[in-house]
Parts: sequence; C-alpha cells; structure tokens
Amino acid sequence: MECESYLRFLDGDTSAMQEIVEQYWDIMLLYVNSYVHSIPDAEDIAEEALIELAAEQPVLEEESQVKTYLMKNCRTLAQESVKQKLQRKSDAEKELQEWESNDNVDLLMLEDRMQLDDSKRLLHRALLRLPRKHRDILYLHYFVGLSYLESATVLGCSEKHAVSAAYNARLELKKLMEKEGYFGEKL
Amino acid sequence: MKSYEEITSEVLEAARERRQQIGKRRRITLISGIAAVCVVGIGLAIWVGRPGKRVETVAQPVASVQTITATVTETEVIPETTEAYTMPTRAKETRSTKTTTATAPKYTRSAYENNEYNEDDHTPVVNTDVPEPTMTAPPAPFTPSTTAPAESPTEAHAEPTGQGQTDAPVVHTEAPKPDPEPVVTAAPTPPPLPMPEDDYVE
Repeated sequence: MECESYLRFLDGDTSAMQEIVEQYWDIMLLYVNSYVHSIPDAEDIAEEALIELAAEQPVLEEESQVKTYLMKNCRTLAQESVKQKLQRKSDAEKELQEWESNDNVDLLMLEDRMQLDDSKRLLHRALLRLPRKHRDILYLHYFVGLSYLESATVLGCSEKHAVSAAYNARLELKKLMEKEGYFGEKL
Repeated sequence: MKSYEEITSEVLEAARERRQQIGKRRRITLISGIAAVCVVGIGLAIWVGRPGKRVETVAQPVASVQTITATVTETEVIPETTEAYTMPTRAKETRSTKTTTATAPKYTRSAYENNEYNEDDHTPVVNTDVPEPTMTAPPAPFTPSTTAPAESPTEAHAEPTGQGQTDAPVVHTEAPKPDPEPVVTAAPTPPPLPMPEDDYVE
C-alpha cells in the first residue's frame, strides 16, 4: 500500500505532515514510552524521529516502510536516551520511582486517545512489566501493527528470531497476566 | 500532552532548519529503468532499478546520461531542474526500400548439372565464355527464366532475371541474337533435383 500522505509531503504539501502525525504519533509515543517511562520524554523522542523523516526525506514508497522507518528511529533514539539516563544512574532511578509511584496521567490520556479497551490497557500495562527483549517484539507486532519481517528490521535481527522471540514473549506475558488474575482471551 | 497541530508545526519548522544544514540534495526518479549516473568525487555512482524508483544523492548528475535515464529534481536548490523529463522518442530507423533489381538465382538445375555454381555461396558462376550462338546451336544450358513463360513446373522456383545476359561481355557482336523465346520442346527434360541425403527416402 502506497503511503500517499508521505508522497504528498515529498511533493511539497506540508499539510500532509499533519496526516502523518495523526497516523503514527500515538503508536510512536506508546512504543517510546515503553523505553523511557515518561510521556514528555517520549514526546521529544517521537518528535525527533518525525523531524528526521521530514528533514532527511528518505526514499520510502510503501506505508509499512514509513512506519518501519519511524519505529526504527524511535527505538534508536529511545535507546540513546535510556543509555544517557543510565549514565546518570541516580537520576534515572529517581525518575523511575517517580513514574511508578505516579498514576501517570499522561499515559492514561494517551490510552484514552488511542481508545484502548480494558483488556488492551491491561495488556499494555503487562507489557510494560516484561523484560525489554520480550516487550519490543510484542509492541511492534501487536500495537504498532508491523509484520514479523518489519519488526525484525526495526530490531535489527532476523525474521526467524523475531518469530521465536514473539512466541517466548507471549508465554512470558501469559504467565504474568495469570499471576495478576487475568484469564481472558488467548493472546 | 501536545496536540497534533503543535507537533506538526514544530516538526516542519525543525525539519526546514535541518534541511538547510544538510545542503543540496537531488532526488532522482529513474525513468527508463536502466540507471541514473552521477559524478561522485572522481568516480561515478550508478543506480539501477525499475522505472519510478527514487534515489537521492548529493552527487552531480551527468547531464547527457541523466536526461536519458532519470529525472533529477532539486527541490530546494535549482527549481529549473524540476521539470519532468519526457522520454525522447527514438527515431525509427527507416529501412531503405529494397532495390527491385532481380537477383540472380542461387542456382538453376542446368547450372547445377554443369557445375556452374559456386559451392560456397551457391551463386551462379559468371559465365564469361558465352558460347557463340549459331543457328543450329542446341538450346543454352542456362536460360534466364525471364523470357521463359513457365516452361516446366520443376523450374518455377527460378526467379526472373536478366542480369546474366546484360553483364556478360559481348564477344561477337555480329552474332545473331538468340531467339528470345526458346523452343520449349527442345529443352532436355532435366533430371529431378538432388535431394539432401538426410531427407532421401527410397
């Protein structure tokens, strides 16, 4: 499927950028938040990823390519951000504690805007508790909607690895959700 | 949380500033599907892909080649080059109409029998020794079929010609011309054409 809005943006239609933002902003925010645990930080990172797209204007012809490009940028920037935070370990720990203690109004707002139902909210919260190696693939595949191949491109691994990682992550998630007393529909 | 409009305006503004820093970039759309060629430093960069493929470069396109194979758009730098390029229609090579001069047959039966053909190209041997025609002379072994009105169905494949006569040097000018309409009955019945060995079935 062609990414019409991106192609129009390349042709000089600046209003097409708003369509891109509306299309991808929330999932980018959700994904980056899983790294940085802070919606304001996630906003900065997601915005930076969009700026790179708009400034670099890479050759992307399909919608999935745009999505993959943005997610890859988000992941790289989020990892850098986390690394910088870890260097200032005390600050990071403090922020993490704040985030956990906080009801995180921004995250709730984001979930509202994305119109996530209760089961998806629960799934999202459970995902946030998963180790990162398991979390990434499930985010990309189920929330962002990338295929295993595209997710593998974002994560920088092979498609086979992505498939097996998703399988293991689902098992891990199931255990976690069962512990929390959720026996809903199959993942 | 920021609204979409805020994000969009911030993104566009920041991208504009950053793009100015990036500098000149050319977007190349391949047309012919063969390649776009650009000068990079002291070398050449070549892109190959299907028509419509877009590539981007800071390199200098080679004018003569890029006009054939790609559109080059410099969105910010040189607006003149954003004109869409239309592929020139290749001038069709007009075939010169074949000259209607009749070519000599590869060989005729009689020439074959008398070994009067070149084995290499199967063209008849130019007979410089035109026999002096006499009144009692037997019919010539090789008779141009232009004048022969369907003498024999076996010789129907011989194309009309007349060059053999005109090209041959005239030895005796006083000699009477041969009868343009040779007597058909005088011609000996030729044996059947030799068949290739492979196809021959008894």
